[in-house]
Amino acid sequence: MTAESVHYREDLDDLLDGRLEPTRRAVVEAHLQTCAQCRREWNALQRVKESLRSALSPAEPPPQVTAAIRAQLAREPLAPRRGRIGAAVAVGLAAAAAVLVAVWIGRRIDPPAEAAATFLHYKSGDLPLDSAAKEPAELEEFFRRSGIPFRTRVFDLGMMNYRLAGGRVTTLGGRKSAMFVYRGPGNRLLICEMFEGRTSDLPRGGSQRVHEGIVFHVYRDRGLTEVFWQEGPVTCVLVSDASPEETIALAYAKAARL
Amino acid sequence: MVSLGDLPARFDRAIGAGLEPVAPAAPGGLPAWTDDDVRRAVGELPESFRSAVLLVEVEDLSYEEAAEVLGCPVGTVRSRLSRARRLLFVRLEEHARRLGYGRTPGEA
Repeated sequence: MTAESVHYREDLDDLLDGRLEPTRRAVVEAHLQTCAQCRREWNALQRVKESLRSALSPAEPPPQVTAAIRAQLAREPLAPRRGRIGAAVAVGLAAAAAVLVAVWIGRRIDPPAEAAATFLHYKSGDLPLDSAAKEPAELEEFFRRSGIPFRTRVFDLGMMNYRLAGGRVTTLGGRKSAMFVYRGPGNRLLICEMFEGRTSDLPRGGSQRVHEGIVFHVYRDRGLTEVFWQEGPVTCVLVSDASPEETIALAYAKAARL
Repeated sequence: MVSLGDLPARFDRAIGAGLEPVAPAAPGGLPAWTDDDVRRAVGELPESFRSAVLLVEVEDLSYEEAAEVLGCPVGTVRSRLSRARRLLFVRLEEHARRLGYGRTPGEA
């Protein structure tokens, strides 16, 4: 990658989306004629855009959700120079967008894929924790105050050399999820999430194990191990980059205390 | 696995592997990425990226409209979209190669 092509990177997105002024557009297009690296990047971006159009046809989201977004936008015509729209409209739009994403994508994806994505997102440093509580009781109180609609059970894994690093509220399976993070030996990462849901709704592709009368659903995804189980109305999942057996043992240790 | 931190390098490797177009169609004429692959990859994007992609690519909102919906600056929509596209490409491309499409550098 040359410094020059780095310079054009987001310009290629603008070109793809028809956002470049004519002068700038001519510059970028001329550059594409001479720079093989940028041309490959351009081809890749075009393929992604075509793939998205093909895979996610606009007819597929629930029409009433799209209509709600369109109606909100129509009520507040958008001109390039307009200022901030009213707060109430913005809240309505945000709610409509949240519904769109949750309803439409929610039925396509599965908790294992989502939990793995959250794990990787956190690991890459792009998902900050909202509480740095190091004590289970303190973190449980944080979740209660944050509106988690069930009683969380943050566990102490000190005996297994995993230390609590904190937590945040996220979403999983279209529900609010209490997420908490541990660091273990060798800086291994362990994330637990709890959300209202049924393990019977989990997708196929996992394997089942039974330990002390509890059914554990084990998934492997991108080098991670995920172990799901049911606790009353709540589904719990442990996700870790530790070995599968170590992750499963941690789940056994936690769930067995019910 | 692609974390966001090493995305630029992974993307450069993916597009710089001397394959053009990158993951060519299968011998039978089927594309290397199925719609299911794409949907799964979108589903696995971080939520903020996924929202930007859906609003701009599927709902056909402008960056400005998407920024209003998401309650963030236009520049944030632009950068999320830019990173999301590259992340999708890397994941789809690596998935296609695992299935045997294209060739990785150094392969006979």
